Amino acid sequence: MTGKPFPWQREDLPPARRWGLGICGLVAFLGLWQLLGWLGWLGATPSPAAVARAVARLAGQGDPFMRRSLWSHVGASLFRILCGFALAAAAGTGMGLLMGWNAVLRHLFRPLVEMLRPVPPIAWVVLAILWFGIGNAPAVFIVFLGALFPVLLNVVSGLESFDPVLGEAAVTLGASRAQVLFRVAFPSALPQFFTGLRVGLGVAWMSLIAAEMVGVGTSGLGLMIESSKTMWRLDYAVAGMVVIGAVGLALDFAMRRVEAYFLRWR
Amino acid sequence: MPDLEVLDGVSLELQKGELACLLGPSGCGKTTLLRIVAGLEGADGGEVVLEGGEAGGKVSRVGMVFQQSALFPWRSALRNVSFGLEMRRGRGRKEAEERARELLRLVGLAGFERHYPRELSGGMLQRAAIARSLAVEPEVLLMDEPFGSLDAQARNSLQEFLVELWEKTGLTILFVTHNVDEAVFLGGRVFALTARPARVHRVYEIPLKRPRDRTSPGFVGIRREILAYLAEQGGPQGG
Repeated sequence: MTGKPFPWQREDLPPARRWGLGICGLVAFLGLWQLLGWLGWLGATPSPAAVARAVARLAGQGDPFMRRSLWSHVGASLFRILCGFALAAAAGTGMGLLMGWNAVLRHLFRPLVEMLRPVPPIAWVVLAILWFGIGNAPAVFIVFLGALFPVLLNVVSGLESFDPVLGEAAVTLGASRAQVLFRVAFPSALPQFFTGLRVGLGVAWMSLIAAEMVGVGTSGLGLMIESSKTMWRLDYAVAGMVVIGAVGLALDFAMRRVEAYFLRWR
Repeated sequence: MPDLEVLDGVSLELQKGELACLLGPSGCGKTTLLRIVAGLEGADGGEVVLEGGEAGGKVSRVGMVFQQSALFPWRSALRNVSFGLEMRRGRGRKEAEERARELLRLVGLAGFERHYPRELSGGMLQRAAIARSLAVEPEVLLMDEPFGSLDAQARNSLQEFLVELWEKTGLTILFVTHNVDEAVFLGGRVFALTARPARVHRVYEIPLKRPRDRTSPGFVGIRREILAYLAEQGGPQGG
């Protein structure tokens, strides 16, 4: 590295300062929010202290509507996201490899994929309930739709940007076409693949919460917010939002750790 | 390169165990010629004969080292070298890694088995690439300006390394370069190609004993002769 990095470059501050600044920002936001509460400007909006109390009560006694603890809602949502995401990762990778491998398949499916992609997964909720009833299955289906397209399209574009010289090197070393795809082209597309996984996980998480709010099941964080709303318990609703954010953050963090392991060669 | 006559009646024959150089201006079709020999590209006519069999194709009888190392960045040096062996059926991974370890030692990279390509210098990358191509025991090794992107010092040391390796292994090597100095340092014979469409215009026998001294009168004399010939042919020359 020569000279000072420009401000928009990453890793421009030491880690301790980055963490410190992040915490400062969070604390300042919460402080301002609480201050507005003390000044009486918040109206019916719950203050951070009220939300914290609501989280504690949800975690302890559970919600007053369904008598389920926060943990069982978190568990239900996590179960759905993990099932749907695993299915989407497998299907997206498989379809992506097929579309990358074969030009006929690629052009056969591309318009279909491009048309389905902009449809928000939550718009499928009617069909999901029609096909799968109420419970985990329709929620898993919505998650699947949310994660599928980012994974699929990133696998395809990762394969498209494959450096042919790597494939030629492999061919001169005796690799078959299938070996070039699985042992060379796919590994070289891993960075894009993981981008797809991370985007897909984020979209899937948001779609799942929305689906739960619409009522695909009888548990889940989305349903917890929805029932708080009908009972006009805004503190529980905001507590649900906070938990959703925290779980989403944890999922992304876990995904980044997996990615860092598989891309350690970068 | 569609509908462009790149090569025209190029014909050259290598002896087994020979280290020969193919010298020609940039863009004259040297790379195309190598790719045809390696089976990576088809020719409109002509044939590649390797001791009675067809070159290229499924059996890797022809190894290739590229301008950029073309190592697989996600594989360690060891697993880059073992790649060719892993592609074959019925080979244990352990056996392949053992062989790869030997080859890394042969090219002077012992101790770098677990390094990823991004952690290696340009010269080390090309050594690893050479080891990788040797793993499948090719009968001919094609090298496409493999030292072209190295700095002058690294290039000289890699040239010396290649001569030693060749003397140790008795490989048959066809080495492509646009650098006259490099061709005279390495080649037992130097095939000089003309600009597009390429033809082998002259074959120089280099009678100097290896390892060669770049500053000896014999070396300088041959170099001057080839440079004068290439200048006569026209086109800018380096080296």
